[in-house]
Amino acid sequence: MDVRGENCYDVVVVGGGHAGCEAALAAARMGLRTALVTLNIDKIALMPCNPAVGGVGKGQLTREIDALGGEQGRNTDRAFIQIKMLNTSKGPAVRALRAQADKRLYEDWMKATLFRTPGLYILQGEAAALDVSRETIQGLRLVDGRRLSARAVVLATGTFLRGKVVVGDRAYAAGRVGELPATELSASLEAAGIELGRFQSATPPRIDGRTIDPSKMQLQPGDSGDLCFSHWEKPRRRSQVPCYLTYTSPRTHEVVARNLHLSPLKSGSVSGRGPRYCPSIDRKIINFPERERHPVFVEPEGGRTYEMYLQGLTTSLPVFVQEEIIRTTPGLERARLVRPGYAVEYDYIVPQGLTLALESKAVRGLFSAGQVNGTSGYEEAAAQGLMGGINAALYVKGEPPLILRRDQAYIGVLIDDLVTKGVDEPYRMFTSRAEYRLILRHDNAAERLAGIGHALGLISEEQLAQVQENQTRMEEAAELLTSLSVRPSEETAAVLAALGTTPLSEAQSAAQILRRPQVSFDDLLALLEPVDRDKLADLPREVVEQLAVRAQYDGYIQRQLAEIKRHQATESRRIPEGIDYHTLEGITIEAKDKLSRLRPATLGQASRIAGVSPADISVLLLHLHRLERAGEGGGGMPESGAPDRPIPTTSGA
Amino acid sequence: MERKSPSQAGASEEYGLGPVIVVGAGVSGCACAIALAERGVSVILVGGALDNVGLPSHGPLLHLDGGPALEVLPGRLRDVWERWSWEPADGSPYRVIDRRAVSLEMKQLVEAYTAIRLRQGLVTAVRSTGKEGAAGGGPAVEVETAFGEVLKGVACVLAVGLGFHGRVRVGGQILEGGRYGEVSADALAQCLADGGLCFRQVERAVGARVALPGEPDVSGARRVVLRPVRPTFVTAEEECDHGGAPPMPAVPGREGVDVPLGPHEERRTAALLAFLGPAASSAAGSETAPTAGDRKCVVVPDGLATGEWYVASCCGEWRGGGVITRPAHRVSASVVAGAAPDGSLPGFPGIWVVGQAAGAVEYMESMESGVRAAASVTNALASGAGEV
Repeated sequence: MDVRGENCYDVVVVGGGHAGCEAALAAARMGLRTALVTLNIDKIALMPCNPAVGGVGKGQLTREIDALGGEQGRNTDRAFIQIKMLNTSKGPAVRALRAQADKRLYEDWMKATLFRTPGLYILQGEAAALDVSRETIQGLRLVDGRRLSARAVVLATGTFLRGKVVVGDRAYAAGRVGELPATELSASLEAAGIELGRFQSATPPRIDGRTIDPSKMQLQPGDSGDLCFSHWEKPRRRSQVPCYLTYTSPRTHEVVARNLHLSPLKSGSVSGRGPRYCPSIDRKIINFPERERHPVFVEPEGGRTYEMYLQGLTTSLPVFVQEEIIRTTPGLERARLVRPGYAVEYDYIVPQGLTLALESKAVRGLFSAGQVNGTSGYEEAAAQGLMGGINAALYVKGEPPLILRRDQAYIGVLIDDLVTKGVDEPYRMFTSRAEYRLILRHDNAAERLAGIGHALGLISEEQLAQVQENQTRMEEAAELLTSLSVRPSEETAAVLAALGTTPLSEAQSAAQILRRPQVSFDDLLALLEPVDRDKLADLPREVVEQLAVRAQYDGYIQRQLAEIKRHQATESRRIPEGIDYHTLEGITIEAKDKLSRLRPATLGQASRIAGVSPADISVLLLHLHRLERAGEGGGGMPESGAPDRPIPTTSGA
Repeated sequence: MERKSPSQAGASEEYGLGPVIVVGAGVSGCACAIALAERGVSVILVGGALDNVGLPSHGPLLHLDGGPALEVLPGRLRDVWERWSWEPADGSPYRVIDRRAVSLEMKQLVEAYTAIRLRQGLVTAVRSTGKEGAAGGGPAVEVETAFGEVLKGVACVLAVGLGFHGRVRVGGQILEGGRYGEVSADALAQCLADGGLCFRQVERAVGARVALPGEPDVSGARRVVLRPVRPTFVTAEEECDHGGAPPMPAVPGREGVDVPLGPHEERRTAALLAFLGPAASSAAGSETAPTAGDRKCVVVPDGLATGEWYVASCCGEWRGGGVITRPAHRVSASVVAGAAPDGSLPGFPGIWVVGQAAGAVEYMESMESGVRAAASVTNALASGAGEV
């Protein structure tokens, strides 16, 4: 029995959205007494915007979350009504899963999981103030007067800090439409020395799916294969609900242009900066006047509702304009508006005030994750939530934090970008943000990260064994493919011709044939002798995918691995904490200021700060060499509390 | 011919009467909208946030003693409540409902009626346009939302629950909200008060929710088995009497898609347990006990997915173990005074008020007032206009 008082927790997570759920589950699963404080239990894990999980860059994040023992992938698998693999005709780095979720099913499964997790307590209430003493978090006070003591706190408040929803020139205080914002917490954060900024985000209108005209739109069905996000559960085939694709018309653009003066972007009723990468239709027409049309994806919000989401028509123009925009879009002429689109403006925590562990530099034991750190998207939120929860738990246990490197995971790229470069608009993940995207593929997420998840206690022995077995099977299969040879024959020539590739002039190994982009793994099996085919049958989908990627891209992959190795020497080189940048000669004043303010932990991090040039880095490197020779410590030596967890897996293909 | 405003178009093409604007998409608003639709009246059902349409807000107890019986509800609506109801083996006149599941199916049901158009919006003003709506053929009421949208209809039904100046009192603090965490309809209350509508104050107690590793420890409590009212149901369409309602239309491309119900499904047909103990204090709350005339502390499951327990407010301070997930609180609000039994408001033609906003307390009372008002609205429209 726990002898502590009812209101004493190891970790308290504030917020029950996609970041908060992951953070709370991770901390509780790591054995800590954890509370999740939410404004409204009925709205836990709500998908307030897009009813979808995944996509290019984002799908990789979800796979990584899953590989580390997070919940988003599994939960999506339970709730999806459509799933597909994107970019199957392109390179493996940009292949990704995307699923349409039944929003309410998604909430219900997440809620059920939270309530069934031992050591996790769900509390309805509004956080009013942090309890900080000696720059260390002690707990929280709730608006209703309850006090929760906590050794670590994870803030995952999404858009609720001083939230305001806006349409046209109208606005009211809300974290989401109809829901009360968190009004008191911002002041407490500022008092603790945490810098806040103001962002805005927006959501498109929803319409009644019975009033669309599919004959004027392109059908976007799901994939027929057995796909799923999670590594740990078997895909279950189920009926899938289609999406539709249409485009705005010149008349749509006229309507927007004619009413732009009514847009909150123009009228100034929104002061925060909005996302460039998920722009409103107003913004798209301002920024791209030459474009004749913009795509609009019509997506179901669930299997038991007729509501559909209009991806691409995000707007906070007045409602009558929204209705005109919809009516001038082919296929939506008779569409009935159900929920008007709107913008939400909120306080975010300037992420440069965070360490790579997502811990506040101002308050020890205070972590933050998700949209409140200036990101957008459920996957970005969940990824940070998971890392915030893990690091809060490690902090409580007195262990060094888990910091994923940029060559190890998109999660590493995400957090490093946030903390080092900061955000001037809500941050969204793209594959182009990663230097080593051939390594950070969705198909090898478990291989990259499951060992770490296991070391944390988030991945079971059996799960890890499954990953290792897949690895062994892949190595064996790869070897087998090299040893098997296929002879030229009329039969093989016919098969290859049907695939649009040339016949064999001499015997080739199966591995060589698989290198041809036209030949899939299944095609290859058809070319093999039945006895060999049997040896390669029943390989898990991931193994097959990795074999194909390896056959085709091995050269590139090896090159990236070599590059990573070269970079790692400088990248992971630690900068001693107490370094006084102002005494260094040959560094620009701007770089001195930025380095002094942001205090990067490694040379790699320093190199990504805007305003710090490669020349500055060379000077810094020289200085570190000198320090090392002088034996003053620092340099390559890990300090206590510095990120130096053993990484139990290889970061390879 | 005058061009119809977008808000008016659509519904009235298929239905003779309407649209009637129902403000509030909770228990009473949904019941009213469904009853109107079943009478052939088109409806615009406006909810502040459509993510919890039809959510029974104040706990999982459906009291059936003294109040209206489930039979007063339209068939499909009754089915929704019965499918997610458990009845005590001792025959006491109450049911325990899965609030979330009821809400999921209430929304599904509301959406299934082509006569009902759901609309998300926080209503800030209702105005009578002075025209005798039904008789004159033009819109009689205008409803304005916080986003500046104006919806026009031939009548308006106010079903905002405890939203008029709704305040949650918890731990000595007073927070906004007729429902926990939700924006109140203060602007609308002000607008109506300015127009001369009279209000009175009410307060009701909402019990705590607790999460427990096992069963609650209620001293001196009696265990009562709760059995599902519909242990064998298959789907909404297969089982019930729809009272002549139109068949559910399908979405293009959505035919034959079977979406699981989620975590509710696992325990849908399982027996549950209720714990009945003596009431701690008669001053603890206005909540009535499940057994007629005898106030009892009752602890019942609140939702299959979360596994929380609901502790009725008369139990006093919770000492039965576990952790309080949602603290007990009281909700105070203004409710409309002087509404006629059918929900109409003398002196306010075209406006009706139903549910808690009209002073109802229990879910059945709320829904029945919605159904009654639907009849009254329909009669008024039909007698005034013949047809529009």
